[in-house]
Amino acid sequence: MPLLWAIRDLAGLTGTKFGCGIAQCGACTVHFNGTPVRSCSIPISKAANQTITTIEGLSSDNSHPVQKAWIEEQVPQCGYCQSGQIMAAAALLKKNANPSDSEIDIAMQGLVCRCGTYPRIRKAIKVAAGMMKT
Amino acid sequence: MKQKLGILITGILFIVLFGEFTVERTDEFDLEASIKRGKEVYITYCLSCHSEDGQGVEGLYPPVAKSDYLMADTKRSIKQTLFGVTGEMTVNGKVYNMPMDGIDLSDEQTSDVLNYIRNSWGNKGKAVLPEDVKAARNK
Repeated sequence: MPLLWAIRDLAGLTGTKFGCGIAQCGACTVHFNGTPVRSCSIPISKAANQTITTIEGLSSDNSHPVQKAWIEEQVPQCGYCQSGQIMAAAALLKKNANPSDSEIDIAMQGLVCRCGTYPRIRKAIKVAAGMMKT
Repeated sequence: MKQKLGILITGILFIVLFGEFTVERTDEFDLEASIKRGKEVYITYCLSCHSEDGQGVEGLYPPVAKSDYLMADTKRSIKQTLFGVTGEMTVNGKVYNMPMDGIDLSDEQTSDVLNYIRNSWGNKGKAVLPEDVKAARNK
């Protein structure tokens, strides 16, 4: 069973979305010991004794800087891909507190947004970086 | 007569220029340019699992940075890039077992991405030529 199935259907945490099912779109991105990974393509056996963080685990009240920046910048349009985008952004900022445009583009590469919210995603990551500094 | 001579000289010039061009193409492979192109291929197809710094994800995806497994066999790397790989593999003393799908790349793209991987993050490897990819692909 893929980790994503366990997260959504067994744990009931439906913030993580099913997109393509073949690790190509990034909608199912969660943190695996802090690293963003595609949960649709990881067997549940690999997750034993590892720390998995889903969008629900970022904060209990949308108070994580990335979530706050996402709301401030009104990033989502349809919203389907956004929990994956937020998880990837949170992992990026943990590793790189002040990413440049090209560093953002590289880190967020492969997280597909059909609405094309990429400019707002980039802007929100910079806003979140600012919030994390203060 | 003058006109004929002109044609002859143009012809000789063409042969000389064309000849040089051919020699340059086959003898000098621009590894630096290939590595640069390969980075783009890596970002597009490899980075989401093997990560930007080539370290992979411990317990899931093996590292390509300073990887004994990767550097040991170029032909195997070409085939795995093109056709994917399943089953256990031991990389730097750790056992990994996650399937990788093959990637639909041209001979040049495959050579570029392998040259990037094999010459980044402390790796140093001989150039993989598009011809090497073609040969491994068809075997």
